[in-house]
Amino acid sequence: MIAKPVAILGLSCFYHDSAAALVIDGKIVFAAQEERFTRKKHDESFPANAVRHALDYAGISAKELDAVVFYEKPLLKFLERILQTQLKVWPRGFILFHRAMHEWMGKKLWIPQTIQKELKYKGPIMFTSHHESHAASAFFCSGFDDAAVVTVDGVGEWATTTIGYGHGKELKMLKEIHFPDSLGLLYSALTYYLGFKVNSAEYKVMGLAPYGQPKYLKEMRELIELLSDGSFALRMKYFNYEYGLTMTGKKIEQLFHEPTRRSESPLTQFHKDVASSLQALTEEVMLKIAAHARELTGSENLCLAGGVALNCVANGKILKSGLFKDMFIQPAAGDAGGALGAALSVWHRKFSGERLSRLENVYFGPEYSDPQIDEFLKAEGLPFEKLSEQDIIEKTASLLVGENVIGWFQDRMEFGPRSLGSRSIIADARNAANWQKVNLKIKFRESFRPFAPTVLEERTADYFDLDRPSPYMLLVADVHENRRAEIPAVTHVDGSARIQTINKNQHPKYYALLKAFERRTGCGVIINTSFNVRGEPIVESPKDALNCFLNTGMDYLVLGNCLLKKTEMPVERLKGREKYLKAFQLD
Amino acid sequence: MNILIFPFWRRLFGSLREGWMKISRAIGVVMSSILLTVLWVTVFGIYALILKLAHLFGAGKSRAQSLWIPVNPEETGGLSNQF
Ligand SMILES: [Fe+2]
Repeated sequence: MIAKPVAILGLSCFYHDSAAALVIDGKIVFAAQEERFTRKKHDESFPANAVRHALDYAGISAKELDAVVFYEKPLLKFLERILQTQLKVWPRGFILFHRAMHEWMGKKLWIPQTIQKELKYKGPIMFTSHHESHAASAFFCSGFDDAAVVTVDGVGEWATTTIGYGHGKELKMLKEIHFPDSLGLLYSALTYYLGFKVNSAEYKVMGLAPYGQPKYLKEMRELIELLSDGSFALRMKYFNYEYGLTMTGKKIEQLFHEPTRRSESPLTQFHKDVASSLQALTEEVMLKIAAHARELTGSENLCLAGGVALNCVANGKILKSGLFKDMFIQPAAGDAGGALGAALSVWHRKFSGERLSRLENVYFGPEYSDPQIDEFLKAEGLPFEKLSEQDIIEKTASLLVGENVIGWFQDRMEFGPRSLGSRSIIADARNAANWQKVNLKIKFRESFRPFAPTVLEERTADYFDLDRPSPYMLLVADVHENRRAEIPAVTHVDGSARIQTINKNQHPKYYALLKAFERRTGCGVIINTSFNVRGEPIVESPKDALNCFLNTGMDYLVLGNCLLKKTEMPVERLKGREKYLKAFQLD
Repeated sequence: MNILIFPFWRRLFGSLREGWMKISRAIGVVMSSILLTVLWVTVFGIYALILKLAHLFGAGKSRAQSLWIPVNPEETGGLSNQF
């Protein structure tokens, strides 16, 4: 008799970036964030749509699940951290107390009931701790036999930073740092001080940093007590987040002698220097933590996860330090990835399952077949050209040469915050003008924001100071000086780039496109940015892609093997831009 | 006759019920806010003051060499626990 496959559904929700991940017999079958379906960026609601897509994709019903796992321990978080913090800060925190109680009593305390009701599921419901979920998402996808596992984020239950050790099928958490001491919250607090949106725009601060100098490192060090083993404590007098509705207050303004920047107001050199100083401090802390993890575990491999692991500049510094021989960073390093980690953790802890080999790609989302796309476009009544797969690749590569900006929608959607060639906006990296064109006319975002390159894996060393693949855009490295003039649109102001390497196995069609572009131009690099406008989740369906195409300055849209040209679109379909952009809250 | 009157009553009761649900929800929000405030001032207040006093007596302890907290595997809890 053939044993029934073990199906485990991992869930993360009710904080930010809710997601569902389905693991069957230890293989990742489906994973997606809820925001892609609800079209609400960082959606925190129960991932009902993601779950439905996951079960449909696998062709199973909720009844056939062997376990549903939630990515953190809600009672530990509420009864210990939330209530104890309220006691600690009393009599401050009155409004926060009310808000927290309403939220927790209203939904967060009833996770099992919510799961049972939403999924009509009666099987076992399990809970892993928040940082265990992060750690498992990295280690069990790394393919390493053993590794030091570091997780750094805002906060889980109590932990904000952990060091663990993974060996074979076992993962042990060794040490942690507790709330309110948090590198993630320090970064978020300064993000707030710089006038950007917390839990959303931290990556903008990272992008702003190279425009400044770390002139305020002394002030930054005043915010944190950092010991040589990477452990740290924040000086809480500068932060409000334990009791207030803001992250920082007057004290930090006095420290920097500047008021908190108002959102969307002009960025000055001061803001750039603060961003640069914060980035320098973050790198210093991360390097110390990594060094301690190396010493503690003795392993030559490092796994990273948690929101701070998306700081690819810091990741690049750890890699360059030579502390570890090899590194694996979970591409969905934020809380969405917790859903995947929770499911993988249960696969090993409860079902003693076999290990996955190293994660090869993150195309775990929904896909749309050619007939589905065809039918959709016919129903829309828009002119389009249908080509063979080979022809669409060649035609797109030809159109890419020069100044066209193209929406590229193919195959299964990416899991995690990055577009990696399935839901991407692409353009010629050799054309410097494309940088501002894509920023201002297509993405409608800040002009300082840099673009990432996709490079043919075999040509990485030709362009970048990087000796290994970076398939998930999680490493930053320098562009060789003699190449900077060739690919100006993806070379950041400090000469660096946030790199995505691509090979044939990861995404055959996207790889073939880059090869076709290389044959025409000799250049193995293109611009790759997420297929969305500012504040919008990355597109999920052909409908989302078409809406984004019609309401932005994009020149062409490639949906599967169908090609749409902007100049051929009916004028009345191009008039909704203002309404479209207003539908998304700026991030 | 019944056929004519029934939808009327149903509509009337329907809108009355809807109105009552709105009012009761508003009362619920106000009441829970009052209860939470009382809880915050009394139970939390007293407990917080005791903790603050205890902290005062415990002050002056020397700072640890490391701020890492070792994880006790016993405390991590089983998979079926929410804590
Ligand atoms: Fe997290």
